[in-house]
Amino acid sequence: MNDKNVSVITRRDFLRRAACAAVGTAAMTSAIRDLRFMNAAVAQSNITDYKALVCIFLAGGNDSNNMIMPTVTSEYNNYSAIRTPVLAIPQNTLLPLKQSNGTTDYMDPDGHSYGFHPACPELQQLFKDGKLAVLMNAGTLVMPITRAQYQSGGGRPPQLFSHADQVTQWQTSVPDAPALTGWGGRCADLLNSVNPSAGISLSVSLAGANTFEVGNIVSQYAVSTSGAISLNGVSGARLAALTNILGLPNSNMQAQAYASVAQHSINTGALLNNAITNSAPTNFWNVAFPTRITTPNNGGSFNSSLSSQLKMVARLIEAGSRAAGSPTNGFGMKRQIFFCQVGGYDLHSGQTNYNTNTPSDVIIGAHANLLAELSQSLMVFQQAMEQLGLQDSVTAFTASDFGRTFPSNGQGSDHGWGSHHLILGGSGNSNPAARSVLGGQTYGKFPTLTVNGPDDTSTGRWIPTTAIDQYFATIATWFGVDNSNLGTVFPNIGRFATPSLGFMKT
Amino acid sequence: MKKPLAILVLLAIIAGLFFLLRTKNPPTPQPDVQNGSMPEFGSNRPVVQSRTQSGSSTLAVTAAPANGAQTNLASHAASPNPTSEPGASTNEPPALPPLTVLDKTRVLIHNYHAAFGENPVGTNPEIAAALQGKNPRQINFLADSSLQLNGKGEIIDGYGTPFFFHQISAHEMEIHSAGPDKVLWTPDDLVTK
Repeated sequence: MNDKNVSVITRRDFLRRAACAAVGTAAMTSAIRDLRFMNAAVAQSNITDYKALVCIFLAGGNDSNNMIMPTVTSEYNNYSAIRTPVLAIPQNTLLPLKQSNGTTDYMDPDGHSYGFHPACPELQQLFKDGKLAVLMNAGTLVMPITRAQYQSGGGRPPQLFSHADQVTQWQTSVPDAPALTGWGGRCADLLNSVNPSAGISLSVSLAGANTFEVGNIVSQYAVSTSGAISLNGVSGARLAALTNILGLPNSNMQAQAYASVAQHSINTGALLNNAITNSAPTNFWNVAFPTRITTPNNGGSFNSSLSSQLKMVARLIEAGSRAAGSPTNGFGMKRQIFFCQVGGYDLHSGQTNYNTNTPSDVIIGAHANLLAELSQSLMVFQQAMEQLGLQDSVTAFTASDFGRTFPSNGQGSDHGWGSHHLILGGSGNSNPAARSVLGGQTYGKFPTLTVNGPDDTSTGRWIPTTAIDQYFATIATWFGVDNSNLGTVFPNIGRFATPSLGFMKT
Repeated sequence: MKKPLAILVLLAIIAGLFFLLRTKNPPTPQPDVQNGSMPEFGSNRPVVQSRTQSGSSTLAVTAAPANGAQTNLASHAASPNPTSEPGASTNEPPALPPLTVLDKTRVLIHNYHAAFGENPVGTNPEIAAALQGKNPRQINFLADSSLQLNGKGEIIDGYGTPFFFHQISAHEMEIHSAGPDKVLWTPDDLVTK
C-alpha cells in the first residue's frame, strides 16, 4: 500500500484542523443565534407603531417595604411592631391607594389595602388616575421556590444579597448562567430591523455602560443629561481636521477600525444633538422637569439626577418618534429602549431622620428624599409623554438590586430579596380602551409581613412570589416580542406559571 | 527521519512535565478536606478602615489619621477580654485583639473564596454556617480559627458584637465590626475587606 494514499493526520495537521473546527463551530453557533434573531426580526417586521421602554434602576436596593405599606389595621400593626422605631412610617401619614373615584380605598383581590410613603403624593395621584401599576414581591428566581426549599439550600439564585451579582441578574433576567447579554439588549437585537435607518442606536443609556442593554447585535449608546457626549474642546476647524484624519485609509486594521468607530461616534453625536436642539428647546415642555427636588413634610432639598435623566429621555423619545428627513429631522424610529439609574438606596444607616427627640422625623431622611425624587420625576415624565401624545406608547418601570430586610438593623435596613415595583404609562382612566399600562391596580402577591413567616427566608427577606422573568416578559410582550421569541429573550420563562402578569395591554 | 525527531520531542515533553511537577508551588492553600480544616491564607494585606460618619462613607485610618478621624487603632490592638476561651459559643469576645479578630475573619472569607471561587452569602449566621461546613465540600474553615460564635450562631468581633457582612459582589465583601461602642455605623466601627 502506498503511504501517500493513506489518510495520515500528523499532530500538526490535527491541531490545525481542530483549531479551524473550533473556530468554525463557534462562528456557526454565533451565526445560528444571529440567524435566529434575524428570522425573528423578519417576523416582527409588521411593526408600524412607536413604542419605548424606560428602565429606571434604583441602585443599592430599594426598601420597598417603606415605599408601599399595608393599611389594613392588623397588617399595619404588624408592620409597625417590627419596624418601630427607626423605620415605621406612622399610619396617619400614609397616602392611601385609591380607586379611580378618588374616595374609595383600593383593595386587592386578597383583601389588602395599601398606602404610599408620605413623600410620594405623585405616585398616589398616578395610581388613582390608572397610570401606575404596582407589582408586589418580585425578585430573581431560578425557579419557583418555597421557604422549605430555600432553607434546604436548593433552587436559590447564586450570590443572593450581593449587590453586583443581583444587579447583573436583574438586568440579564438569567440568574443561573454567565452574563452575556441583558434582556433589553436581546429585545433590541430582535426588534432592531424595525429601525432601518434610524441614525442612532435603539438602546440609549443615560447612566453609562450597563448590562441591561448589552446585545449581540445592537450596541448601547451612552448620552449625558445634556445630550451626546462629545470630544472636549474639539469643534470647528479642529473637528474638521480630526474628521479628515479619521477618514484617511490605514493599513493597520485595528487603527482603521478605531477610526471608523470614532468617526461614527462623532457623526451620531452631531446627529443626536441636532435632532434634540431643533425640536425640543428649553421651553418645549409645558411641564417643568424639576432641577431640584424638595421632599414633602419639611424634608430635604437637593438636585435631582433622575429628573435630569428622564428629561433627556423625553427629548430623545420626542426626536426618536418624529419622522425622519426634512423638514422634521427626527429619527423616525419605531422602537427605543432607555436606561436610567439613580443611586443611594443602599441605606444600612441613615435611612430616616428618626431620633428619640423628634420621632416624627421618621418620615423624612435619605430614603424619603429618594422616594420623593422618584415620585416627582415619574409624574413629570408621564405629563411630558402626555404632551407628546405618547402616553400609551411609552412604559417606564423600576428595577433594583433587591428589597431590604423587614426588621431594622437599628439605623436602616440590610440586603433583602423580593421587592415591590412600579410600572408607569398609559392613558389611565381618561381613555381606558387605549391605555397600555393597566394601572390603578396591584399585581402579584403581597408578602405576609412576618419574620419567619411563609414568605421569609429567616430574617425578614421576602422570598419572591413573582419572578423578574415574568415581570419583564409582560413588558417585552407589549413592546413587540411575540410568543415564539419570548423563550429566546427570557430563556427561563417556561419555568414559571405564566409569562404574563396582566399589567400591560397586549 | 521523522521517528527519531518524534522520540526527541516526546522526551522533551516528558522532561518538561517532570520539571514542572517538581517545581510547582500551589498558588493558594488547598483545603485539608480529610481534616475538614483550612490553612490560613494571609498573603493579602487587609484594608482596615474606621467609620467617621453614619452612612456608607469610610475613611482609611493608617498610622497618621486624617483630620476628623479620631479612632485610635492602637486601642483595638489589645484584647478587651484576655481570659475568654477560643472556640466556645459565647457572647464573650475572643481572647484576641479586635484587629486580629477582624483580620482572622477576613482571612476566613478569603479562604472560602479561594476554595469555591466566590464568597459565602447571607446573614451572619448563614455565613457562619457556610464557614463551619455548610458548603459544597463540607470544609470547616472556622476550626482552629480562634473566632467565636454567640448563642445565635453569629461570628462575633473583638468586642463581642456580631460582625456585619456587606456583600458587594461574589468576590468582594466588607466586614464591619461595631467597635468598642458595640453599635454599628458609628465612628468607631472597624471595616475591612
